[in-house]
Amino acid sequence: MNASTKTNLVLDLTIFAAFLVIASPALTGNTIHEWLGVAFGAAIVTYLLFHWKWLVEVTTKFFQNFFSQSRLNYAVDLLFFLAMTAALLSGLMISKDVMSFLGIQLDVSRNWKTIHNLASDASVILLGIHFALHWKWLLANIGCYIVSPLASIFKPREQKPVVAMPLQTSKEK
Amino acid sequence: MKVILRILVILLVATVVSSGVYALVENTSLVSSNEAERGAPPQMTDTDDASFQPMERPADGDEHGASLSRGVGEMGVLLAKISGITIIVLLVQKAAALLQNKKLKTV
Repeated sequence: MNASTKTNLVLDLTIFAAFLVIASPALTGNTIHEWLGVAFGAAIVTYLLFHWKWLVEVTTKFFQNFFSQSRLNYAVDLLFFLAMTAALLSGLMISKDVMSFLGIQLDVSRNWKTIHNLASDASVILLGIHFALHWKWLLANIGCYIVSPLASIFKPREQKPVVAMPLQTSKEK
Repeated sequence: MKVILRILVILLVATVVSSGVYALVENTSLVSSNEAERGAPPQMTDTDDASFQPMERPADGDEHGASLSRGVGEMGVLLAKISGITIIVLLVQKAAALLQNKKLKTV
């Protein structure tokens, strides 16, 4: 799946907005928080599909050039994936609405709540690092695809200067 | 077909990770025994259960309810945390680049 920069930017911003909403359960309430969490799993899969080529490339050449920026990106992204998987799994384990909707009753240990909190905190930290590592890309593309088009809407249009044209009389013709 | 295979690979990796987390959590004790005794595990009671009693939601929202003011505040804190971490990492990167430049100049 080859995605343009614009598509990647839209996907990134959408996932970021979804993350903010999911990580604020007080905003949505518990039921929506749980279902959004399930949907976020699908969003992560989509994100990985869009970056599949890069993913395969870096995975196969991971140890060839270990100390490079893309390896750091890869490590951060991998940790983020692990943290989100742990958060989703623990969220499902402690969920009340999703599991009861599916007709599953779980008698789980309280450790899952701790794991859910730890994984959520870790994913926030990793998201911050991910942002910092892609800062230049983000700034450039937000400027190019969001700020510039918005600015051009509010910018007054330049009027073409009126040039006086000499009138031609029938005699001159 | 290719995309379906890729999705399956991603789900497989997620399953492996989930199994690891599950094994880790179920075989280790993260909460002290006293704490575990105090708090009962989450119960998945059915709505038709006789013991189920619906709780009245306070106006400002409760633990499980939505509250716009609390939610926006929570989101603001979250944004501040992410921004803080981003700024710290950017500063560290800048400092590392400066140190590297200094080293190159001295050599």
